[in-house]
Amino acid sequence: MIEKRTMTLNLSAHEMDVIERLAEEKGLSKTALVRQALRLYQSISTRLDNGEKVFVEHPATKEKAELMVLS
Amino acid sequence: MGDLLGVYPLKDRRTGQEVEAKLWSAIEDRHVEDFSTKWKPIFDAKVEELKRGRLLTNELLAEHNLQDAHWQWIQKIPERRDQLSWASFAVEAENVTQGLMFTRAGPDVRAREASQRNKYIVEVDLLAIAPWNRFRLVHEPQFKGIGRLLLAAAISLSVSEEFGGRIGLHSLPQAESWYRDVCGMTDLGVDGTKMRYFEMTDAQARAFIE
Repeated sequence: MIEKRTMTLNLSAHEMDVIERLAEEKGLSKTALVRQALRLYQSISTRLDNGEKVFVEHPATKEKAELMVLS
Repeated sequence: MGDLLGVYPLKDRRTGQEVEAKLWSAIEDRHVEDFSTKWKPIFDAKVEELKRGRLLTNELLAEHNLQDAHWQWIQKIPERRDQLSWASFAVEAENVTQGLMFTRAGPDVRAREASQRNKYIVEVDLLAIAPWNRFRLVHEPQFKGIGRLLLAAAISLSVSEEFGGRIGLHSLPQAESWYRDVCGMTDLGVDGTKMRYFEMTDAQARAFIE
């Protein structure tokens, strides 16, 4: 088995509401949701660290906006 | 040292005996070493032999179960090692690497099959077994069940990620019938990658594991 470690996460009520709502929407536990979020965050951070740019595109207008991540 | 996920019986076709296979996560340096020194020379020698006097086509490679011979395991392993989206697995038997697999998961890895569209899945990116275990490449393949063990590991990862066992993958032509007819995956046709895409639903995953 892959070893798992436990941490306590202190969140505001608002942050907890958001995480609970997202977990409900995605059909995941809060732990699984945080794992997915961490993968995304690491992936974007790595690309930005490598000098790449990350964009989001409007589906209709194709207008692109650069995604900024504060390091 | 990676995590030992379990020890499973593997049938040696040459002796008829069962041997212990160890399933590891993740791929470690010793597995890369085995690929470089034990797998690759066999792939390279066979490709060179096939090239002699004729055009090396994809069909010819498929005929000899060699369409993955160009996969860049040695380069990809260090590139992906620290990335949380990637997981890797290795099967060892008789202290030699018998199979390797990379999987990917993340918010962008979603199902396409109608009954589970947009749900999260684990994607099997690369799955390969050692050359001496392959039909059509060697006269008498040695171990049976390595591909199945690796696919079960991908399903198990999907379950532990709360994705219900759902997995997806693009198959090389040489493996299409195995994923479709043996593993029971749904064939969703050739996509933009020019490869055939297969998915396993949670029900198909349960059936596969049972």
